[in-house]
Amino acid sequence: MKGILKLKISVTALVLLVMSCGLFVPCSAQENSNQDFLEANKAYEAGDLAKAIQLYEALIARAGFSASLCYNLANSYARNGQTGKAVLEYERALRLAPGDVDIRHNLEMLRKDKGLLPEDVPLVHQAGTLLGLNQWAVLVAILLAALALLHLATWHFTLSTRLSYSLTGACLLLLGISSVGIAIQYQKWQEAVILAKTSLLISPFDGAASTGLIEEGRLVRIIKRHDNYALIKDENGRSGSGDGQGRPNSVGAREGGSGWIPDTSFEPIAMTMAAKNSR
Amino acid sequence: MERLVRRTRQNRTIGRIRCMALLLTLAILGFATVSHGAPSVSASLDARRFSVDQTATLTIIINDADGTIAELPSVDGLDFVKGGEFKQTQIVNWSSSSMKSFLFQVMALRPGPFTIPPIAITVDGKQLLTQAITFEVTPAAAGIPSLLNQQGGGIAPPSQSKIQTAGEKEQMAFLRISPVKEESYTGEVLPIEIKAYFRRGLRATLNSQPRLNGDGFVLTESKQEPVQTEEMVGNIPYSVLTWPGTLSGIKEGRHSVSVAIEATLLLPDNRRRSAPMGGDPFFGNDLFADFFNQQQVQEKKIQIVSKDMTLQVLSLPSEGKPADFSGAIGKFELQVKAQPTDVGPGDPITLTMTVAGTGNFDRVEAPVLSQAEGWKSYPPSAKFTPGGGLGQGEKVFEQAIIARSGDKTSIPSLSFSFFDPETKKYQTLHTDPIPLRHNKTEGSEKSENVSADDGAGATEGQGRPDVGAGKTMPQKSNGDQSGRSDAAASLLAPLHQQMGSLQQGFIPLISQTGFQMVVLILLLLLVAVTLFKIRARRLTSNPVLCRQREMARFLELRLREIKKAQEQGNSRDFLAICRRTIQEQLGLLWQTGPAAITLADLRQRLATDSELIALFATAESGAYVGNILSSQELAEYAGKLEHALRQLR
Repeated sequence: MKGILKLKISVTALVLLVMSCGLFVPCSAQENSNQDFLEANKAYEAGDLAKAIQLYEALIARAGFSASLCYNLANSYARNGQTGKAVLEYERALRLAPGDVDIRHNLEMLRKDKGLLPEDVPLVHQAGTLLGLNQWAVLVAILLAALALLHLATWHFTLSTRLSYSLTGACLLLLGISSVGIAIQYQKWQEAVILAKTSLLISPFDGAASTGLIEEGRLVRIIKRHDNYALIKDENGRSGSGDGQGRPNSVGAREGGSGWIPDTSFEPIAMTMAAKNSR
Repeated sequence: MERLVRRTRQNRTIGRIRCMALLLTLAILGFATVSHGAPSVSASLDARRFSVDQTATLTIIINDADGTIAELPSVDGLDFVKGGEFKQTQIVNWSSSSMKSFLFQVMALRPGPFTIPPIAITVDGKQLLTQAITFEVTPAAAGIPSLLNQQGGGIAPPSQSKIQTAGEKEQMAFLRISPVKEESYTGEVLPIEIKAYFRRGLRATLNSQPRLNGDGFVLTESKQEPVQTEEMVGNIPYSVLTWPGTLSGIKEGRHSVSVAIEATLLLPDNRRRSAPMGGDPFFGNDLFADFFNQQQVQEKKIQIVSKDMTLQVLSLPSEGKPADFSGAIGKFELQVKAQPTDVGPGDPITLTMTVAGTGNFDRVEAPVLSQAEGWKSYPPSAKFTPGGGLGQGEKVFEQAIIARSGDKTSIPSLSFSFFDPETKKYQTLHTDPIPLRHNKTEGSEKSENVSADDGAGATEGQGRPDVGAGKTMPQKSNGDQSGRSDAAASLLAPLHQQMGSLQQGFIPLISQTGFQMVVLILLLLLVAVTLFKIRARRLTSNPVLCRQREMARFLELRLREIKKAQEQGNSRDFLAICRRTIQEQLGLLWQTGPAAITLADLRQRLATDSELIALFATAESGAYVGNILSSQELAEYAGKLEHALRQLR
């Protein structure tokens, strides 16, 4: 009997030990990440941008993305004159924290300074960017739940037909708006950023004729891929280059503003850790 | 509308002519015997003196023969419009004579003496000639109200008499351009006035705007409608249309230029037309035409061209050309304002630069800082506001500048260069430096020092987010990277000090399985609730379904009671419940009170072989008499009852 009791105590102790290890290991990893993060911040503040970038990148490769991590890395790239990388990391930070004022401000200022602002964004698209993709998605879920609850409530509570219809109509209208918002933001989610000023080619082969240039930091949409090339269209629906003064120049590209560029000249904004590390 | 009225008048004239021709033909058909004399031809004009705003009728008559006019002679300044042809035959004492007439409207395009040469007429294969006709066309009569068909502009009182140049005197309309410098520079804007003169009383429609003939110059017209006035030229009143515009030389050398416009003249026929048979009856009378304001008009398309001018275009001198010269030619003034002048390091300053005057504003570029070093400037915006006169106006530029270092005590002077065509020299305007007052804060002083070290950075500017707790500003950048850090980069919002939650990738919520499941469940719930509501609404609105549901509910309830009574072996209760059940079901079915249903009702309303009649009779007798049924009988009875009642639904 005593032996059984001892065995039980031993097993319990072992389980507790394993569990405690399991708890401490992540805590320790989180602590290390925070230390690295602060160290990278210190390097940035000291003006050692190369070190700051190296530390932030290593942290992302090891621990993953966070809005603040991407934002700080973007600041480092921006100060280091790497506009493409800076825009990429700001856009990533915005994906994770769409309402962050600092991210929006810095990205807007950088793009304005480099002449990368999009031309004549349609009102619908402007409205679509009021919320992030995840925020639109949550809103849709809330509206669906509200609709279901409203219908359930009418079984038990007496609501006037007018009120019931008004609430249903409002929910459906918001659902429609949210769906459009999701569509717009999902399209933006798929965008990529040009990392270096590159030529737009008429076909996906080495030595193909160029139809123009596309500026570093420009947002593009990937239409299709072929080997190591991607057919892209810039955010203004055309290929073009800025003159650095906020005045974009049309370069008269073929195929309505699309062109082929090598994979190495751009990076998708939304990607997994595995994909990023493989690059 | 006017065109419609004109067409109606023409149709009426043609109608009269056709009517006359028909009468003549009928008259001719009444006679069988026809004899001919020697053929002869003649031509006559019904007026030997008329004004340019009137027409005369030329009548050509062929006697005792049927002939044709090959072609009317071409006379410079005259135009012939065919009016019709008539044929008349007369028989006197069995001797017939015939006469064929051709009518033409004669319009003169200018005053002066004219001669219509002999007209060739082919008669029976032979060619006969009419006599020549001489007549005089006088200028249009004064005092006729202006009928110029031109929109816009009021009619000013006639101006003083002006000199009429050679060639204009005979013209019904002409063009003048004034004043034009004979020498100008490439790109220089020459304000001009284009005036189109039309004899008063003449009706005209413009078909085009003035256009320039010749290379080397570009004509820019004002977008305004031309102003309509009246002028006396050589004692002749004219209606005048005036277009303001500018001429700009685009090619060096001597160029011959003129201006032209297309117009349609509507020439009124105020004369009383006399037909060979003695004029139009009744409605053809001019009295009625005038009464109903039905003047006959003829359209005449013309092109009015001004006299050729030979203009010299000179190239701008290269000597003394300032480095910031952008091609502005004219006379300009420069004013500059800066806002704000009380600034902290890195604060943007908006320069408002106004270039006003006369000249080619399209070539006027923003003034430039005389000492741009140490300043970051952004592309300026420009807005041009036209002034009162041609080529006059002001162009306002707005430009943001930021001092790259904090030691700037003033905005350096700005310069703007242009070429003055009057003095034939380049001129450069300079503004005074604008003093700045520095508004230094603790944080900004730190940044100012940093900026001074690397020579490129500036501090945080206006409009950036507040620096909150947990955020720090960069203090300095290392030497080899400072060149790449520009002012914009140094105005970045500070770093975040909290790392936040980490994610392994950018997978949007809508792509995550958990969220998709939640949405799916919510959707299914919504659909289910909606379907239930629809079903419920359908049931409540359908009385048959309601009754069926009610019958089913009661049946299930009673069957449980029957089963209970059966299990207890209580025959009396069993039969009473059975009886009540039958009454309830039939009551719901027949929409009557269950208690009122009797065996007689069942026999009356159910089929004679209905099992329910027997069952009800058994139940009724059992309830009153008190029959005792065995358990087997109870079970058999219950089964039959259930079957019969379920069939009712």
